[in-house]
Amino acid sequence: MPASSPGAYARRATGLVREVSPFSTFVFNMAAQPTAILIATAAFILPLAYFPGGSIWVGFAMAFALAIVLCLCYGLFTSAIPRSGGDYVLVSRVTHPVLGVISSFFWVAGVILVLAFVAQSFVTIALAPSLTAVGLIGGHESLITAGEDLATGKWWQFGIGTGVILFSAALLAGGWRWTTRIMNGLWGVMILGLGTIFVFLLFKSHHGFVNSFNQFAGSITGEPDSYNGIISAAQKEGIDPSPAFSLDQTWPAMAAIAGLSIYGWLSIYISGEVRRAKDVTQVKIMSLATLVHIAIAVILGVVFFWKFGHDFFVAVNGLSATEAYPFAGAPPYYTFLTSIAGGSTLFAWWILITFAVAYPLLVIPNITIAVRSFFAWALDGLLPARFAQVSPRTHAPNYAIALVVVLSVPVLYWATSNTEGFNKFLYEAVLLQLVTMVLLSLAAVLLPYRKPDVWRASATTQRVLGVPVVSLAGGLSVILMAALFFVYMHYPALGIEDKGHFFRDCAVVLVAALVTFFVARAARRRQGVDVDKLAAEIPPE
Amino acid sequence: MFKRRQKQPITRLFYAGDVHGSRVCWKKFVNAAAHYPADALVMGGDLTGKALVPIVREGDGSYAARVIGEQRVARTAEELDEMQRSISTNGMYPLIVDPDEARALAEDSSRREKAFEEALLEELRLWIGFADERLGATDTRAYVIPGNDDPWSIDEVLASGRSVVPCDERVERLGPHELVSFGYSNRTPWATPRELDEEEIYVRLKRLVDQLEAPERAIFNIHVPPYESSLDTAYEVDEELRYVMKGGRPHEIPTGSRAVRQIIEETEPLLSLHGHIHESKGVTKIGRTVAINPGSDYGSGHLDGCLVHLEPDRVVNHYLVSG
Repeated sequence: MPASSPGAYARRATGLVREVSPFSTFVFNMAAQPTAILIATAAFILPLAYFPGGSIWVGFAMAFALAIVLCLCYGLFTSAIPRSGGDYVLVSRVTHPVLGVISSFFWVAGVILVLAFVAQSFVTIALAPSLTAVGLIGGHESLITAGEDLATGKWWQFGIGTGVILFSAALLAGGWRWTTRIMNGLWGVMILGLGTIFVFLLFKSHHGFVNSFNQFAGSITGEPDSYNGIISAAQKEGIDPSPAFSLDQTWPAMAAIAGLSIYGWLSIYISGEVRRAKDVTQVKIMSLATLVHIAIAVILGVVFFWKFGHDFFVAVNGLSATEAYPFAGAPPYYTFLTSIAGGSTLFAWWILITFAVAYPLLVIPNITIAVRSFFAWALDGLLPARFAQVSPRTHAPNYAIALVVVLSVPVLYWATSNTEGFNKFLYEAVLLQLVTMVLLSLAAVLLPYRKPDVWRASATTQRVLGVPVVSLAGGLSVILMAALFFVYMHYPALGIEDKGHFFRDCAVVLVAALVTFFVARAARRRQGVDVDKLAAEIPPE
Repeated sequence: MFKRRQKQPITRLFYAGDVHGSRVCWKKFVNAAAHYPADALVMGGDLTGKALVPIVREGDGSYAARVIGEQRVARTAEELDEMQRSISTNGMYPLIVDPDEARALAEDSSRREKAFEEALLEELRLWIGFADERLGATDTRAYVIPGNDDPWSIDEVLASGRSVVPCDERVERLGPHELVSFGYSNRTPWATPRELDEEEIYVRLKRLVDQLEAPERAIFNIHVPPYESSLDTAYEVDEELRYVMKGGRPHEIPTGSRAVRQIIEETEPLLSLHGHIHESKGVTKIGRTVAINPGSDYGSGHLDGCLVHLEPDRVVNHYLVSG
């Protein structure tokens, strides 16, 4: 092996700079899957309540492996084509614009559903249970009532949810400087909250928690030993607090965790604005974001089982899905249990606020993704040119931002006015996005063969057994996505109860994508412009 | 009132700039004429690359180089060719050297500058040859100016092309339009070869626009964007070329030319095309003038450009493309 060669010698020339720093890119990727939401709503309560015997720890390991493969695949892919616009740009450049549009429609359809859900969840999962929990802990009846009002008040949900969407849209309209500041700040508050919980529980003994719990719950359940009462009540409901390991139940547990853990690569949507997008820095940032996300969840998970007690933690989560759960309106999220352990209203407020911020945090990358997708479509002539215009002052694509708001607010109205009907579609959002991820992975496989010059000039040209690493990672991603797809379809408790409904929706999205593409193409052709060529690479030879 | 607009002849123009030594971007620029298609190609300056990458010929017959942070080794002629192509795609000049020469380059800056100059001129000759080969049999011409980063020695090479029209500080006829071209920039912290004070920029541009027969139909091809136009936003750097931080973040400032803005406001041409600030991609209007900076991401091998369809008196449409 030769000695290390010198790097490049640069001459004096004006420099190219990009706006989003590596740290903000890291936060963007973590914001796309807020750790607090994973811990509260997906990692423990779902597996423990619905998939008894499924190993959360194996689930974490499998989800992590899955996520790392995606980071490697999409990170290397975007380093070869470091443009904003994500899957649309990558798929259309490597295959054909129509496939890029199809891919993007599936992704954006999922994003719009998720945006509405997250905006509603800010009220129904963060604010309402938080107020109820603080009310129960501090004995404030008015807060309990307020929590109930929010949980059932459709207009409250629509109004506050719209506020969250408008707040995030306004942030983006203000440009990256403010967006990254607020995003990094919200993320910092969330992490500080999780850190507080870790430190607090580390110094709280198991017996201390049992005493705190009994003291709190006694007035509600009327039992002096409510702690063991919860375990007994769970057993009466047929919940086994120490179920034997079941691989069959571990798959859906993994899927529940993966649903909020395999998105550490979403900075591909802002690659054109990220510093050091051309080298492997983004792969490292994506992988680090995934590692930190999973590591925090695992460490806190260990602490929860240790301090709350294994059987109790399984029982209380299992019981929460039944009528026998004694704390209506306050699910056994980590926030509730830790606040009980703290025994202080002020402490409870801090924990609940640091959890609630995760929702607006999650809205920021989702709006950004939709905006960047519309922006990229407009640049390629698929939308009117105004959607590619940026503000002279902030460089923000205001028309594209407005379009996202116009699309997501009515969906939020639908979500709040017909939650049950909306949820049928919402659960499909993950699967719709899996379709995009499969297309993106297939495009990654093809990159070295369809665009050899671009691949040769990318961050790594390494091969394993003669196959380029990006193609290998792409192939592996396709297999893993197909497996995840199968798991989602196989376990109705994950939300897909009507498979036919899902495939009908896929057909609708596909037709919408094709109509959009071919109508736009025909309109541009009348103007003397070939849309295929606008989106295609100019032949280099 | 409802009279249908009479069909006017359309001039299709493709503009790009700041390819900075990327061979693949230059080839795409030339090929854009047939791809989109376009009647004329306009290159807005900064043709030459910013970095030289030594490829060290090792004792065992292999070649080693560090390419975008990755140590690469070529053991066969094909692999060496691949390595050179990936370096030039990134806008850098590959230079094969022995270990002794590599050491000499590292230690001697004048030797390095000479090697740089030779490499960039040799590369540019290849580019001009490629343009002549592709455009020679067509009516399409590539109107090319140097930018502030380009050394003076490239002018002679540009002038040697048959299909390339070197047009810096000149007015060229382009169908019903006149093309005014200007490659200098205002002062930069990098002290690059072609910089002028604002007053001098204004005087030289004024001299050019005074030659126009129909300023309202003119197209400006001016490397530096107009001041405070949103096409000129960049991070501020200090004398040591470090970012100026304010509030914990790099501080953004307008870096365009006040003289260019003044001349656009006074002349009100149909279209004004700019480059120079790669990250300030966009389209804006200054008075009636449509001003465009398509940006540059030459290092990715993608050519950022702009396809503009013009009637004699209006811009019909424009598309920022990344081909």
